[in-house]
Amino acid sequence: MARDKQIMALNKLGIDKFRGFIEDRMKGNTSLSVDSIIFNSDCVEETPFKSKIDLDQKFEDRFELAEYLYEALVNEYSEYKNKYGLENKDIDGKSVGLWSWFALVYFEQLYDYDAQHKPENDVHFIFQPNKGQRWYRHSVFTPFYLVDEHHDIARVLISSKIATYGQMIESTVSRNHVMNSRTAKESIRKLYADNNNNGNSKKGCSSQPETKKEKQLTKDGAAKTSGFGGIERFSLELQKIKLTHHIQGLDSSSLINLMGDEFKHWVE
Amino acid sequence: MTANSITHTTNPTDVIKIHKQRFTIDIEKDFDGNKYFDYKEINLKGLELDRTALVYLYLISGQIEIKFDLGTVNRPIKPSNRFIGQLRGLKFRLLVVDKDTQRIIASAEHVSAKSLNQDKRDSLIPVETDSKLGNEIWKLPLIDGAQPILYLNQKYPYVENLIANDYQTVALIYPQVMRLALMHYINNPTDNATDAWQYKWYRFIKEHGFNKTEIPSSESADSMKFEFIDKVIEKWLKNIDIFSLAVTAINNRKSE
Repeated sequence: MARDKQIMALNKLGIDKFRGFIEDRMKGNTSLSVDSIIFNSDCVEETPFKSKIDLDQKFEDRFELAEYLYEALVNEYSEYKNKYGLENKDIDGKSVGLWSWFALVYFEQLYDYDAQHKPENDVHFIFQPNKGQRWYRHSVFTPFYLVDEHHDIARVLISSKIATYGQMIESTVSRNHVMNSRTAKESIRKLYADNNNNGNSKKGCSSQPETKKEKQLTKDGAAKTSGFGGIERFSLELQKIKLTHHIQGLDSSSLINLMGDEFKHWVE
Repeated sequence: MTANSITHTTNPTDVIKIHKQRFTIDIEKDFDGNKYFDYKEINLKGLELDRTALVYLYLISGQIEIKFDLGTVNRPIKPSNRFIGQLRGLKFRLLVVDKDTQRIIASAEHVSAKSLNQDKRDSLIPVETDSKLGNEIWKLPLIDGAQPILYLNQKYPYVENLIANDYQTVALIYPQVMRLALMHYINNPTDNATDAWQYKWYRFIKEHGFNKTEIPSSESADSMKFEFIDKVIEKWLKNIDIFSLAVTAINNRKSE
């Protein structure tokens, strides 16, 4: 049975408690429950959003989660965006409270208990709009932001696993030269979206090129191909092309042509 | 290989550089107080550009990039809507583009606008007034990659005069402003472009007797960054002798 609840926000005490909760989970301690914070009236405050969400809703991936919240907030969010969106960079602000509350509500799905490398800090769960280079790592806000503002490429950028952040976001969202360009975004979709798999990113396209010189060659002396034509290389190449071409005036096919042969094997 | 055989390409992109002296962008206010950018003329004469090439001006503020169509080299047009709303930390990019290939023929990158009341275009920290600072007298919003700009609360009486001429105010405010801005500089490295805002900070640090190798990287430990910033600030304060000037100003006021 659904447990519908009004959309709330964590207050300062709630954020502190959530921070402690995350630390506990990272240490393997699961004694504290999500509900113990959500239903503690000292930790939460009301929001102007009238919609309700189901606390027990299960999601296949973060895109589905983002669409669920988008649908819940669609008629109200734009009205309160200045307070509850990225624009509000106050470290104790309402946006921090709202998006951290969502991350707490669905924490058990978002946290990868089986991950070999646990996240080093709480940036994936506590929304940090004040940290310019970190806000986009939030597990709920970023997928929502992509669905809200960059719907055309949201599906290919958002991880297809609910507990995984994914390299596609890391290589693109913080880079203005990618996100500001309609042509670049169209090219990303053309190159990396797997149309046979609901538009999710193609396997291997988010692998990273080796940055250390001594590791760029195989034992036989051949160049390693990891990250070849992948999303990280796309961002870097685009930066170079921006110096010589007016990217907004190009169509995606022309841009992909300019990017060089390494990218062409992704085109279907 | 002898030294004579080494060649160095200074402009590998073949894009003609449009010097910033060829145009000046100002930030102005209309009668209702709305801010907009303005320019008198963009002088492309003598650059031997294709007369039919397209000209664009991009306004960049953090994640926002807005394109303005300025016509062609031989038929320039001035966009009528040049309002900038609440955008901050503006940079401009001027492009002359081949209309068939979209190749950039000439460009001016990282162009700063001359702010309202800002006479010194190349100042380390541009100063602007803002009416929406609430109860704060000053604010230094730090946007990734963007030059730090000091905003002063326009509702605070004589704030611009105080920050420019009052030693006591300068001594109280500027060390902290400089600390924040220096940290922003360290955390936002760039290439060695001499027209980037970071270069001004590099020059400032160098002028205060520090080598490039002494500047911590963005990856350095915070303690190392703080230690370095402390040293630079102390050296700078000593150079401008602001402490003594502020003390003298206070004593003078007492005796008046």
